[in-house]
Amino acid sequence: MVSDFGKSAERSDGASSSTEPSPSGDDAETCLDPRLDQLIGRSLQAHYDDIVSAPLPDTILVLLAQLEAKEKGA
Amino acid sequence: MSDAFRDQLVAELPNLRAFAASLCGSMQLADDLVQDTAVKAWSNQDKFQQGTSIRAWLFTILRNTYFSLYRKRGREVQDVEGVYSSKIAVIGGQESHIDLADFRIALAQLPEEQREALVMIGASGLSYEEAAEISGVPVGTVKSRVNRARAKLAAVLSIDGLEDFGPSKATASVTRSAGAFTAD
Repeated sequence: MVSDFGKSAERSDGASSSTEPSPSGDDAETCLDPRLDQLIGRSLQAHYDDIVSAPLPDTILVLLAQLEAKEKGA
Repeated sequence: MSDAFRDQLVAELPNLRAFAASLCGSMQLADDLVQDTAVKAWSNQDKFQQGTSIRAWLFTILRNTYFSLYRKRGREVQDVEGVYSSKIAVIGGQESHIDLADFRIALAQLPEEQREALVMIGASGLSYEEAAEISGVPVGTVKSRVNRARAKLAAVLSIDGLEDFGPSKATASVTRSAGAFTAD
């Protein structure tokens, strides 16, 4: 997924420019430096993974257990 | 059936939480959102089509909950600095670093629709098609939102370092690596 970020920043040289459909049309600013683009991609993933790997709060697990118990009791 | 569903749901909770936090910028609000979403998902489990992406289904519920309920209540909080249990973390290799806290502050500055698109595509592992369906917009719109989000982040992270307000070491090193293309 992160590799997607680099992809659109690369430009093919000249030859195919007229036939190649623009991915989004209105974005002249899509041509970021690939290194900066990768850095943003990695930072985004780090931000996200930091939360994914954090322990879940007990309240949510307790709640699910309650829902299940209620269903089985009903 | 509900045991299997429960397992699927529980397995998705960390991702749901990361998406929620990215969306609302508050860990506390994110947990409320995840809790509401879990209750709704549980009571609507018969509506989930096995074989489709449960992540996309849950994200849709969470997003709808957020936009219909939380935001209307005026509970939009972007108190980013205080809310994440932010460890000192640095992203990147030797020549380029972004402090995780700095990145989160930059992320919070994006318009909501750009932020959610960026997170779904760049971190949650959803396809453009799934993200489009979740947000209720065409695929092209998701692509352009992601592109604009990246451009804005690049600008924010670079400019922050350039301005002479005593940038942190982290943003300063971003500037160093970004210098080549911010100069022109």
